[in-house]
Amino acid sequence: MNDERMENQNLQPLAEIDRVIHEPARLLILAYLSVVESADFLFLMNQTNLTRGNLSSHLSKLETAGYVEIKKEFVDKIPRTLLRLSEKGRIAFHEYRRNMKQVLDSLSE
Amino acid sequence: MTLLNLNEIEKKAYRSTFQDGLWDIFLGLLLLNLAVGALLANRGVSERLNMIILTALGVLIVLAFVIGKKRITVPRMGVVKFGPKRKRKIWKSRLILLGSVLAGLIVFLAALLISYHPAGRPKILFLLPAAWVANTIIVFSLLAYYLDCARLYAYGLLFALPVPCQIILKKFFGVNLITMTLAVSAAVMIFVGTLLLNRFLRDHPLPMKEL
Repeated sequence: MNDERMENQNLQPLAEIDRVIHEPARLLILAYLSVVESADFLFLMNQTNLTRGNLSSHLSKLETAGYVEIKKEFVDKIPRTLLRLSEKGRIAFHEYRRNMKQVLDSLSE
Repeated sequence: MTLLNLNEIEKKAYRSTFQDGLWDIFLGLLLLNLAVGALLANRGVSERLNMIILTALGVLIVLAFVIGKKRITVPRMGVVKFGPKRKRKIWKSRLILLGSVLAGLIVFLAALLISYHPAGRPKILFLLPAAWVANTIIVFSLLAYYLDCARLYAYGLLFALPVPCQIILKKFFGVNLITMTLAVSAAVMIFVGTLLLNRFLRDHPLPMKEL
């Protein structure tokens, strides 16, 4: 019984891993957005090397989760999609890093 | 680069804004402008006319750079606003550049006043080349450091070297090749910039649809 409880405690950080972030492409998107104030769709596409469709679909998921703010605007009559990490996204990303570190640190050889 | 090294990710994103070659071409053209000034002075063009031509060319170069960034880089690379830490670095580099221009202007004006000294050209004027070399190397090194752009170290040398090269050539061979030495340095920067621009255009085609 005690062993089972200990095992559950060890697995706790693993269970707390955010599945929305725990996907390589979305993690990369959040990593980029976490180090800049804002970026547009094209810049992020160039930096992450994701295709337009792929990036768009991942951004939708991140927006649904409330992690990314997407604003569409016109600059010189050209539409531009501006992306920014929301406060909720920043906190979630920070927690994800902390949890992952804990999980990886607790992995035995 | 590891995936979660955020510092490296930020640096990579920032450095990518220098990979269009336009800064290199811009700096090369500014140096070429000085070469034109030296050429005109050698041809006996009056100082006033020379200054007008140099200023006009300088304005054209800056305009071409701004238009190039707007028409070539932004539509291909997109736009980004960096975080407060990077913004502070950019501000520091702007202040360094402003300080350098002001220092250069003061030295230039002081030299101009001293050169009209009734007793002829005082010996202090020989310090001007040293001031030029020190100013360019220090400023470009600081810019390279704050802007995370290693090429600027080399460009500092390319800006500084024509002056001592000219002094050596004049002393040992008696020739005035300042136009040539400035133009060679400028050509190196323009060449590097053109290569980078070519690579940038190849790697970043215009998107089919507006994003």
